[in-house]
Amino acid sequence: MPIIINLDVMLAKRKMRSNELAEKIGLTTVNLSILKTGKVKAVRLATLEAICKELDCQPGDILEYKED
Amino acid sequence: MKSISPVRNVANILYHLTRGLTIIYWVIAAYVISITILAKSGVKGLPLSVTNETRFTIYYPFSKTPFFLLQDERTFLVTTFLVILFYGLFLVLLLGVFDTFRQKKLFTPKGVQRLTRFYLANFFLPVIAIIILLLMGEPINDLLIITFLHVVLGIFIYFMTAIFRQGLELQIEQDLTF
Repeated sequence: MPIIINLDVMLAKRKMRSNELAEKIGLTTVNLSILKTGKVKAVRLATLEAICKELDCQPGDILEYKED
Repeated sequence: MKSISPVRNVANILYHLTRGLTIIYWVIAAYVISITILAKSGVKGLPLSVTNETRFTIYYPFSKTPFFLLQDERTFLVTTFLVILFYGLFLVLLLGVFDTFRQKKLFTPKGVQRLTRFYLANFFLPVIAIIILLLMGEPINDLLIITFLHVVLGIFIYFMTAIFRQGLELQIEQDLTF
């Protein structure tokens, strides 16, 4: 999949755990795991906004395009 | 408080009605088939009486009240048993279809599988039964109309299954949208 989700990297930089972030943005830990592995079909802007707010980052820090 | 949809309510009622009917049907079918097989095997003391050379009556258990009339002819017995087995299976598959419609999530892989089995059974089983009877040299006139109706039902459910497959794809996308 050309879109890579670098959530693990940002979580490490901000020293935050997955379940912590999941609780803050209103996702289950299971769904956040699915998001981290890039198996999602789509991400809502509201979810992206919540992630960027909690991790104090830009969407480009979370999402990366890499051609196959 | 979210109310249960009318579709789920109707499906729930139909599911429980069909489940009761299926249980009763299979009990009766098992009774009739076992008594007939035992009678043909020469077992005595069964709740049945021979009306004339070709007809016999099965009674209710432990009574002399007539319950089921059968003709002791190969055509009649084969046709009757094929019909009994088909409609027994039909009721079980129909139960699965109603159960699909009473679930909270409508578009599931299990639901698509149930609809697929239902349309395949309606489409192919009556046709296979007709072929069996033709190969046995038995007349099929009585079964042609009912076979046609089941094939039409099978086609209709086939289209519904296609819609459900599309719905399932959209459901998966929805579920994997965060």
